[in-house]
Amino acid sequence: MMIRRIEDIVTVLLLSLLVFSAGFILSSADFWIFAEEIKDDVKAKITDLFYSHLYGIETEGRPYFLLSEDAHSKFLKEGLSVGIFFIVLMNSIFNVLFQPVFLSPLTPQVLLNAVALPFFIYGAIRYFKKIPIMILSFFLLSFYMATRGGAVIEALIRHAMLCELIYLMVSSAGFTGWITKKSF
Amino acid sequence: MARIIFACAYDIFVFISDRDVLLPDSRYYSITGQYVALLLKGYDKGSITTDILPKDWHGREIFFNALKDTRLSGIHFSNFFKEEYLFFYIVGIIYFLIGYFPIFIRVFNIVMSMASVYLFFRISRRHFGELAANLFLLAALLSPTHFFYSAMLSKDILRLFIMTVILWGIYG
Repeated sequence: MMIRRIEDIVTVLLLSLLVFSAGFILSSADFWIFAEEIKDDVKAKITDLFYSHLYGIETEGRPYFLLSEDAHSKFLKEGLSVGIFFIVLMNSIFNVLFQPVFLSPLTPQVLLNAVALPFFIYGAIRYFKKIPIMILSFFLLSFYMATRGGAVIEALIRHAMLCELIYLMVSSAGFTGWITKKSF
Repeated sequence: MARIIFACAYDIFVFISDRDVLLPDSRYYSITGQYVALLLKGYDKGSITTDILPKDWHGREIFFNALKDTRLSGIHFSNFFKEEYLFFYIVGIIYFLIGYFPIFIRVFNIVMSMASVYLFFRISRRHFGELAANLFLLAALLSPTHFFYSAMLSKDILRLFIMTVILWGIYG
C-alpha cells in the first residue's frame, strides 16, 4: 500500500514536470530559434535519405519491381513532395514484405505475405489501440531501413526480420478476429 | 531440432567447401570474433604469431583489419552499444570458452531466434488469444527467413532478440 502510494506520487511529479517542460518549450521562443537553426540540416538529411532510396530503386531494384520511370528525375527537379513521400513509404513497406529470400518473386513466403496483407490491414486498424507502438514500429522501421541504406539492399529480408514477425503476428490476429468476430 | 540439424549440415558444408554461400559476411564476424577471443586469452597486437593467423589471404586481410581497428584494441564498455561490436564480443566469448567452433555461434543464433518467436507468441497469446498465437507460432517457426538465417553467423538475430525483448517489456 505504502509502495503504491510512493509510486503514485512519483508518477504525478514526473507527469507535472513533463507538462511544465512541454508548456515552456512550446510557448517560449527558444524552441522556435532551435527549430530554425536545425531546419536546414534536417531538410538536407531527409533529402539525402529520399535521394538514396530513389536512386537505389532506379539502379538496383528495376529488374525486380514495377516502378514508374520518372520518380527519381521528378524528385531531382521538383524536390520533396507528397507524391514522392508516398512512393518512398509504399516502396519501403512493400520491399520489406515482398522481397524474396531467393531471386524469385514467387517464393511461398512472398505468397503468404500477399495473402496475409488484407488481414494485416484489418488487424492493424482493429488492434491499433492495443499495440500502437508495435504497429508504428513496423511502419517506421520499414521506412527507416529502405531510406537509410538503399531500397533494395537494406530492405533485404534478413534485416527486416522484426518487421516480418510483427507482420505475421498482426495478420494472424486480424485473421482470427475476422473469422471469429470476437473482440479481445 | 530441424534448425540445429540444418546448422550442423551447413557448417560441415562450409568447412569442406570453405565458402559460406548463404551469408558471405559470416567469415568477417567469425575471424574478428577469433581476434577478440585472442584478446581475452591475454594476447596483444605484438604477441600474435603467424601460426595463429588464418591460412588464406582473405581471412588474413579480415584479421589485419581487426588488428588495425582501434575500437577492438580491448574490451571497451562503449562498444556494447554498437551491435556489430557487441556481436564480435559474443562470438569472441564463445570462442574463448569453447574453442574455434562456428557451430556454437549458429546454435546461439538459433536459440536467440527461437526465444524471439516465443516472446512474440507470449505477446500474441496475451493480447489476441490462443488461436491467433498458435497461428503465429506455426507461421513464424516455418518461416524460411528465420529457419535459414538463424543458422548463420549473423548479427541480425541479436538485433532481432534485443528489440523483441524491448517490445515484450512493453506488451508482455
